[in-house]
Amino acid sequence: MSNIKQIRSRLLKSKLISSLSSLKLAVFCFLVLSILIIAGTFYQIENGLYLAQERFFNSWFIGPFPSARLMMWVLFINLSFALAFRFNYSWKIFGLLLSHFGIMALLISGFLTLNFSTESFVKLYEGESSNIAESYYDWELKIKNKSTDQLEIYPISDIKEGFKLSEDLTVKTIYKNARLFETPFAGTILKNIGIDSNYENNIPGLVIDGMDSKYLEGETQPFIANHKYSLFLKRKSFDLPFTIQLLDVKRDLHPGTELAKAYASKISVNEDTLTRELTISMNKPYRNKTYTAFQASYGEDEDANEFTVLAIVENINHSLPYWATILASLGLFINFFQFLVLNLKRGED
Amino acid sequence: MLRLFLLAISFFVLNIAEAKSSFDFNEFGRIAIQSEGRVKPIDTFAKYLLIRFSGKSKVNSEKATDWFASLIFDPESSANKKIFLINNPEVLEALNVEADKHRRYSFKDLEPGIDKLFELSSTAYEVPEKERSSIEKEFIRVFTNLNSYIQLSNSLLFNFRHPDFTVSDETKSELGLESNFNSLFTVITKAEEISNILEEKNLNKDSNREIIRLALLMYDWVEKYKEYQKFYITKEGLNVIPVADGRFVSPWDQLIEPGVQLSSEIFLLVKIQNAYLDNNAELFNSLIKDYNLQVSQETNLGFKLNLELLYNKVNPFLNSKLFYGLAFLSLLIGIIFSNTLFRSLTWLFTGFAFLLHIFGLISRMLILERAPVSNLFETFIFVSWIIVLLGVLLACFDKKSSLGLLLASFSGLLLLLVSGKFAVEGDTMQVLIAVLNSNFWLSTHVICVTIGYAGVFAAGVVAHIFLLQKLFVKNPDLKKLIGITMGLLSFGLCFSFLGTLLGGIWADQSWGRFWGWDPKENGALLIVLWTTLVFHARMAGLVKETGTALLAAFGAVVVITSWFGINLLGVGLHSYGFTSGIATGLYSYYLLELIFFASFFLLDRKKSH
Repeated sequence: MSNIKQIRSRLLKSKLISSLSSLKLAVFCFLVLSILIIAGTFYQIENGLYLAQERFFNSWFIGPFPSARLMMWVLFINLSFALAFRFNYSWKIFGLLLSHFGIMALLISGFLTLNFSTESFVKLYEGESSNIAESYYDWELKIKNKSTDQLEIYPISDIKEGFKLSEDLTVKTIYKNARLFETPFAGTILKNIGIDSNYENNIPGLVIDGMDSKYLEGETQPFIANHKYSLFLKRKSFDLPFTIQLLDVKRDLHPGTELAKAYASKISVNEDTLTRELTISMNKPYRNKTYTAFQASYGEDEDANEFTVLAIVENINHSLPYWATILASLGLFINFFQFLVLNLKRGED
Repeated sequence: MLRLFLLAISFFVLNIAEAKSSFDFNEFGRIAIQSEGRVKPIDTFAKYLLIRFSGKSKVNSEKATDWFASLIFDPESSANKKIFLINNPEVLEALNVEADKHRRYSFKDLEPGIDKLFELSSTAYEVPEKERSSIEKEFIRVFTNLNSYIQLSNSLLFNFRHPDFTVSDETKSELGLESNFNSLFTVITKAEEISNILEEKNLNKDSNREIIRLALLMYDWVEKYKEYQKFYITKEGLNVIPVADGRFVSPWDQLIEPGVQLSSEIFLLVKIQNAYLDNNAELFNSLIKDYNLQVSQETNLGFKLNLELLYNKVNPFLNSKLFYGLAFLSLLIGIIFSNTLFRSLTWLFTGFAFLLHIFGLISRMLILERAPVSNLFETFIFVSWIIVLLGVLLACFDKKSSLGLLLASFSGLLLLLVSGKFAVEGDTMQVLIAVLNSNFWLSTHVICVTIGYAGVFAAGVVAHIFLLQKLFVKNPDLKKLIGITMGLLSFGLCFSFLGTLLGGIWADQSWGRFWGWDPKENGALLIVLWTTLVFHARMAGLVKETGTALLAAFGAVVVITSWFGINLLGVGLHSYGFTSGIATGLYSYYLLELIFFASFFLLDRKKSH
């Protein structure tokens, strides 16, 4: 034991380890993160949640400045070094140790979620069923060669102006949010309508050279072809290992108002050959292995057909944040009571 | 002695006799009405309706319930009461109304301009809400109020006699009517007889021709009423008749619904109105009692209604605010004159205030059947209660120091003063939107977060006291103050952290994501980060005692920002309503803190020189 202690204290003399595990670095991280949070919150007013997340929290840098993702890695390294070299493992600071390990678990689960989870949705009218979920933000361009039946898929984020889709098809312009408009003289044209801060409302559009009709807009017109190719511009889709059928969607109102009290979707889930019925409602999702389905939205179309939107989240580490929360909170409370007892004793002396 | 006794009795009897001779509006206020999704006593409904119209809870000296009775039972005379508050002189000019020095106008004053107002507010409606100018908002506000007023004043319109429904003696006896002069209601009650006669198809008889006329009229009036309903921008009704599934409907709802058996309540209401108009207080009072008895037999709301009436009467938050103020005052006097009597008084006042405060919190929980915090108003009363509790505990542990009592009385007074701003906005007991409608999470996540606010804010207050003592007090015990600050901060951090992460778990349960960088989430995280920063900076030796106090004092600013400053942004999942009064208060608070910190730096530097 004393050996380990000696090694730790010797290593701590190294300047690199000493500064990487220092409290000052932690304070610096907290300060920068606080500033990023304030900036990211204000940024949301004009630009919406999605862009704020992308710029301030999920990226590494904002221009020359570190972004939250980088700062959290720095904090993680700082914390690991401190736990490895600096912390004095004794019962006196049991609460403190516990809370720091909890925070470490929390940071790890954050990194896992950011890198390995997907969010998508299924929109269903009553009676409809589906085993495909669609992405909120990511779009894909699929090109099918009519003669060879070969299918190629390009994520829309990879497509730049001048991108060659094939020998004779070139992307001339790409818009993040565009719609087709009928004009009296020029026929149908594609118009850039600017980015919507509600990012899932953005529908990309392309102008392509070498096609009969050169404008392509997402979803509304899945096929646009010349003699050789068919093109699809669709939301990125995810195959689910089960099929969901919407049996009934309900909205309960507070009596005498238009204010919703609860939403619920009665669905039937078919997996392999097994079918069962269940209800998804607010605060009551359906879980299946790494997938979870949530009641996300409800609506009616012009003909008063009701539909539901279920959010589908795939997450490999569903329970880690829960454990981290318990660990860190427990640690903080123990630490608080240790502090209290110590001070009350001091007061008595 | 005997004479005195007799005198007392006669006084008592006289009092009773006098009470009987007047209308019992307290009993009227007990009637259950469903509004904004909740069943409440008319006492509450009328108060907030009047506050909405006039900004006051009384018309001259008349209480809100009394005014409301006149509005629904005697709209004609009620129309002269000056109850509509109009601040903007341009609105008056547009409506061609002469300005009143009290800025309040009667329905009669505004009636001639109502078409113009409709036009102006319709145009204003087309402007997106965020871009509306103050005058456009005022047009909409006044028009919405008139809209509600008209609907409510028409609640029992069907009970007024109308020349259309005057019938001959023959028809009267054939239908079994009591009078030749009838109202829509008396005719509707004979609907079955009318349809029986029409089925006999003897249409040539003179009296039958009159009956056909009555049937057509009845249909016409009901259709007209339905037509009018379409014009109203907000639906406001006298929903006092209990029907199935906990729903209450208005008398009109029942009358226009074809084939519905009229409930006994509607007949009682008509009788009550007649008694009111006949000035027959005795009958009125006994009928109202019958009415309440009838409703309480059909529903199971007696306890909640009585509790709410008591809550309204006690007015717990106004009164506890008063007592916190008194406690604060006597504490200051006690400190200045080192008088122990005033110290005991401070304890007494704080105790009273605290009990009232608890009463308010608990009765709201019982009435609404949910955890104590679910809207911004409730965060104020809950956070202030927690801080008072912390202060009282502090005072119990350290009996010599005034710090605990100072923290309790000052924070109690301040935060309840702020909460008072919400009472102007209407009923603070609101129903919940779908995503919040979960008692488990409301009582864990929200409670923890708000206790966290209380801890960190209390630490901020003590840190302010530290800084003031450092400047102005000779030989202050700064070590103790910083110890208490850190203790409170640590308490606050525990709950803020747990609360924030429980929010994450709730979000994970209902939306499938643990963390989404929503403004309110960021605000909560900011409190956690800042508090953690204070501890680490102190441990790292970056700050000494004064530096720690400065950081902790700034923690109060962080709490206020996260708590309701975020709502000013108007984005995100948690933006639940904001009042302009609060916004001004928030900016003044920031300014005050800026002045405080600036002057501390200046004075502290001067002192050390």
